[in-house]
Amino acid sequence: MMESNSAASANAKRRARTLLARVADASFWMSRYMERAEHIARILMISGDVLTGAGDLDPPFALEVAGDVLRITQRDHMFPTLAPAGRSPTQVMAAVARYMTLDEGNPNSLIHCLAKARENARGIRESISAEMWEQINTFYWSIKSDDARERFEDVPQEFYRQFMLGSFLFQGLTDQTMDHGQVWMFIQLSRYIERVDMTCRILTAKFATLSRIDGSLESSLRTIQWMAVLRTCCSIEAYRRSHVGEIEPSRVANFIIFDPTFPRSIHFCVKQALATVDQIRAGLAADAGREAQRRLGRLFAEVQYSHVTGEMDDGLIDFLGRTRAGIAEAAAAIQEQWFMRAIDPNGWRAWSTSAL
Amino acid sequence: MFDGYEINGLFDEMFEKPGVPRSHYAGLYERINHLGITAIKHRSAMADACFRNQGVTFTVYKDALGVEKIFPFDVLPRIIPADEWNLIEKGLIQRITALNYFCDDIYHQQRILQERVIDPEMIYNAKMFRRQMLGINVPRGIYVSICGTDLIRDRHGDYLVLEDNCRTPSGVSYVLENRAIMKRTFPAVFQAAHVRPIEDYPHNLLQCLKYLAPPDLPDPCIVVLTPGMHNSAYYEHSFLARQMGLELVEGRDLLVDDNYVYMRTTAGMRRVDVIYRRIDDDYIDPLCFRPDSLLGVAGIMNAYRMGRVALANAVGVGVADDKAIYPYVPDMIRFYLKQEPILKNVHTYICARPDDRRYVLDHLHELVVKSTNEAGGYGMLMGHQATEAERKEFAEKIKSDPRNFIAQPVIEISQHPSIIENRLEGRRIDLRPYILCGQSISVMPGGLTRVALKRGSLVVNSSQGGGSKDTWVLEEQKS
Repeated sequence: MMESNSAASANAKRRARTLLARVADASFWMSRYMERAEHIARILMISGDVLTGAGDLDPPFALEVAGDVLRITQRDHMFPTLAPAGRSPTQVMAAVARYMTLDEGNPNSLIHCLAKARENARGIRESISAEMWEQINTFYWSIKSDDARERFEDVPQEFYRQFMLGSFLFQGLTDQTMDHGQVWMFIQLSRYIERVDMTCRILTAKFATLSRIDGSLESSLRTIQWMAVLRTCCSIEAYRRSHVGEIEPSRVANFIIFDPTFPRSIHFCVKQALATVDQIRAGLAADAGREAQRRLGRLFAEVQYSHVTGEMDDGLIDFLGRTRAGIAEAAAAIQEQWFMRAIDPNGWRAWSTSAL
Repeated sequence: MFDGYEINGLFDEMFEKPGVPRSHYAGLYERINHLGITAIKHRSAMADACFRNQGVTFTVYKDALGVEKIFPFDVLPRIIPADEWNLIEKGLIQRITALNYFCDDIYHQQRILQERVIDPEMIYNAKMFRRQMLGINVPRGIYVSICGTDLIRDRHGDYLVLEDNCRTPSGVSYVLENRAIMKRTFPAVFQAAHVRPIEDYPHNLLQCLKYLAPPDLPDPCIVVLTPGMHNSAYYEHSFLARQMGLELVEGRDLLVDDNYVYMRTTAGMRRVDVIYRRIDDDYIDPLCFRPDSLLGVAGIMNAYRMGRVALANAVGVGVADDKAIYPYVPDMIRFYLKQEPILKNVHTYICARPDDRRYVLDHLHELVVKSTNEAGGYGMLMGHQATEAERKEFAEKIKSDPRNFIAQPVIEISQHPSIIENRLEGRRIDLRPYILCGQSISVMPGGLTRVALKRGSLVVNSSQGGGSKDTWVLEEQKS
């Protein structure tokens, strides 16, 4: 028993040691961009869907929905360009969608995220599985093909769906076709980090907007809005199962942030990120990653022991802001300690003696 | 299907005369006719989609980042019968042996210069002669571990060596991918032909690299060094690393400390013992060669000279594939091996020699002039196709720097049927077999057959619109 354990850990160390810092870095960003594309596709899909149903009923509200897309992706400075006076909400939404989908100059457009994911994958194709590479590459070329713009203009919803399916397929292939070693762990880690970040952004934008205009909305539109928030976070079905018949802002927030077992909740993602960091550290037997662990641990403690009470208020927005800052610090620590530290020629000596 | 197929007065690989295929092509001829053009085109499109989706591409330098392109694939395979191949194989083994002796000699005793077989000036003026390697012993005495030698066939069907690529010959990944795709798209045709397998190449390459590691090391760390994603052969670097299960590193992943080479990993530094480098000498160490290189590793030459890391191929082998040294290879074979060359060279005029130069300048219209240090079909003059002005320009270049030029008669190289639009037409081809030199020498049965897809063109380089086809070396008939 002892022997097989030590053999297994020796094996883990041997494998761990040969991961290039550059490869770890690229796998991290490949996965992050893929996850980001999936979220942006979903935001566009749900926003488009809401406006198709309710755009003409309440024009000021419809403009807010289009504006939220830009706020979430931090492109709000583009709003005046995309929504000049005189454009109908439907036209504005179409312009926003076009900008967020195929505009290669927009660093958060779907095509840009996919190109970055593929570029990172291309740089490490010998470290990921052939199946993963072929999927991401085939997907990339299908979006770069001559008829892509036409397909998008034709049925935007189908186009977004392809991005979401592309991401799901990539995740499935990652789990089932590659070794669950360090590269895989970095892929997991960055996915959860990106998911926390995107979920915080979505909730911040939506809660701010909805608390501003909530009173002026008709009640049916109001319910549809809160449903849309859940759908944008890919959580509607799971929420319905745990809160039969109730769609209420504080419950929505509580579910998306604090549900312990749902893989889209912030609680779940932070917990997984922390566990993955522990797992990577265990394989490396070096002190690197301690800072990332500390930051994620503190964030997890805060998420674990908080909850939303009563009505929407500034407290929630503050909490989301702190969470975003915390996850960004953790990401920076990962970057610094695992990807960059190895590049400092003076910094490695003391550290590597313990590792080797 | 072959109606109207023209032999164009050349050596045709497939046809003895119109409508009569050579015996080793008889089976293929029958099956192609049976399949018909529609089926072949359909399968050809399938093959293209495979290449695209798998990212089997090369990069053409048009803008700063380059454009990824598929290497056009022609599904009609080139077939080489066993007896022809045996001769080629013997000739190539003889050649790489002589080239290795030559490199060792040039960087040590220089007997071949002392005995005036080669004019010493030709060596000292060679751009890729590396003074830094003089007196350095390389692991196992092997300079050229991997060689890709370009062969052509003349009007009579004789195989000639056009050049030896001793530095970082590329293309072997396409050979392996072409084969995989052929087996997938034409399984029945392939099976019926009894083709020798080539799939063990990555394994053999790894054995070669392992052979260069310090002998007492049980588990040496071997890596593939690439200039990076924007290099035209990046796909191949990645492919080979994956096939051999090695780490693919860039210069920035490596560092030298106390004359040992390390790679930067998430767990700190790991020592590297053998590097299959796909970076030219010029870029490999900014402290030793080009100081502006960002692709290499500072200090690696010192580690190499101290024998603490092995490089394949060795630094300085470029002296052996200098186009002005190439004409001396038959002499090297006689000098080192006391044998007659099995494979012939193309007759070559060395512009550095006054007599040759005079002849070249008088006969520019019927010669191919090549710069001695360019590859990929760049820096070339096809005298018979060039304009008067182009010839004049080249004449001036030759006069101002004769060492930099050689000239060869235009060889009407052999043609092979290719699928062009909806019919079959003859297109010129060459062949690049790959030779590995480790504990023993092995030649991959086959190699890269490149096709000049432009009508009438003699230039097969991928950067000049060339494509490739699978190369089938047939099993020996068992009697």
